[in-house]
Amino acid sequence: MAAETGTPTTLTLKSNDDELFSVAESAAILSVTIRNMVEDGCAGGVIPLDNVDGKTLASVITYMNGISAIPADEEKKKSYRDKFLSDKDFETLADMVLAANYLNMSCLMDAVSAKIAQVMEKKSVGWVRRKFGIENDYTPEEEAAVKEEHKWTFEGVETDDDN
Amino acid sequence: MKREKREEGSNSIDKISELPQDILQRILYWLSQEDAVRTSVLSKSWRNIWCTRPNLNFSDATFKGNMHQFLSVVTPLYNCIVIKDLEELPSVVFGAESLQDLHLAGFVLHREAIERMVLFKNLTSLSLQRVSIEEGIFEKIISCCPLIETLDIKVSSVLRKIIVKNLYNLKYFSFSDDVYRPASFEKELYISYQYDGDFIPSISFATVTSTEWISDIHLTCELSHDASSWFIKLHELLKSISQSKISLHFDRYSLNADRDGIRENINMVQDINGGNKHASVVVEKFKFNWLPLSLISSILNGVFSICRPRNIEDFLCGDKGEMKRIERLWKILTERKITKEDRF
Repeated sequence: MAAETGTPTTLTLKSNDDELFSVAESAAILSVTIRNMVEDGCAGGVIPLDNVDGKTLASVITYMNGISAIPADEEKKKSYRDKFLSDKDFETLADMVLAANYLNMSCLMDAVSAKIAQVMEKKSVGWVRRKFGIENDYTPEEEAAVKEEHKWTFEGVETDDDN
Repeated sequence: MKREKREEGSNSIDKISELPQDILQRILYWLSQEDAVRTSVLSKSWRNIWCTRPNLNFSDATFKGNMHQFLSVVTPLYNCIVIKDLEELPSVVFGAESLQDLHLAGFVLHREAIERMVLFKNLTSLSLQRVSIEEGIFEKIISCCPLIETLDIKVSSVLRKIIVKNLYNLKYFSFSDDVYRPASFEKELYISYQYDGDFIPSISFATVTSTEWISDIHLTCELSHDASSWFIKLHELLKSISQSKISLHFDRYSLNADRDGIRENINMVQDINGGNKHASVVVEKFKFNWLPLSLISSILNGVFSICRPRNIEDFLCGDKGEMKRIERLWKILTERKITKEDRF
């Protein structure tokens, strides 16, 4: 890697819909995938990220810049993450969790997957199905059997109308 | 009664089910066992995702399906297993060769249970809590797990002797009878004993010279008519870990005899160890709390005949008797004959 000392290195990332983004190397290497490319010397030109679209990548870069500007203070980082994710809908969160997975960014991965889990917490099966548009492909008998098997998990959950 | 619960932002396309399995596992990681298991009812593709969430808890309290059948399916998939409060340990666990981390709590480990045990050649962490286990069985388990780095044992009045001579990778070792005290593993090789029982465990380690060990020993000081043999056993323990930086704490004491008897008995330690002064083990720090004032002198004598503390700390409780206590201690320490062996 031929990084010049003194000047901050900037990387160019390309989304799968051909949008180009400039980002400071110091922020971009939060992604282990990108860091490996940088370390292998493959980051000279444009880094193509084939699994991330422009909208999601823009969001991820906002996060990279935001979180790397915070000094080592886990509390502040956490509150930044909470704020960053607070206005994201599920569509966006799903795209981000995929991007975080592809980019190998564990802190973003954790934050987004926890945020998605939060939505499901203590919710009935019917509620979760509706919320996420999950189609119930069990026959009534099959569903009854699965429910019976895990009967204990339905204690203390609001009963719902569809079974 | 029907209740309409249309949520805003409902999705018509099922995006979540399309996420790769490993991401779904990460999501389920954040849920309680109950919430995670319940997702199996969502649809066919969700049927078994919870089975492989990274933090699946095998305890009876949170898992109520057919445990044994279930374990036989999932155990080979895991490298970390936490099992709590089952009536018996499923033998399938002992067949899981790929296991790296085994955490058992609330068991009686019988001979039969481990008969089918295979070599845990990948096991690096073993935690036994509230597990009743005999010495022989413990040795057998240890001999099957040569790569153990972390050994956390919070048990069991039966286990008094620990031989871990074949564990050359051991980095953290904790042996305690206090199941609620979390093990604190920070140092390269950290040995911690917290024992309030009426005996001193006997421990032997593989010889490791390249690493600096820290041994942190907390004990209840046993003051009985046989206090001298308690000190002798403590001496044996200290000798077995004399390669490490030892910090010795008497957290409490238990008084089971009249004070004169104890005093006399402790004085015997010196006689027993008398001819062998150079064998005394160097102890980095010796700390004691709440020792009875009338016996401090004898106890310190006992301690000084088995080890040479570099630093001594008394726990200051700040009451009125404190000054008196400090004066007394000062007197004991200054009047103590400084022999050649005591200098460093």
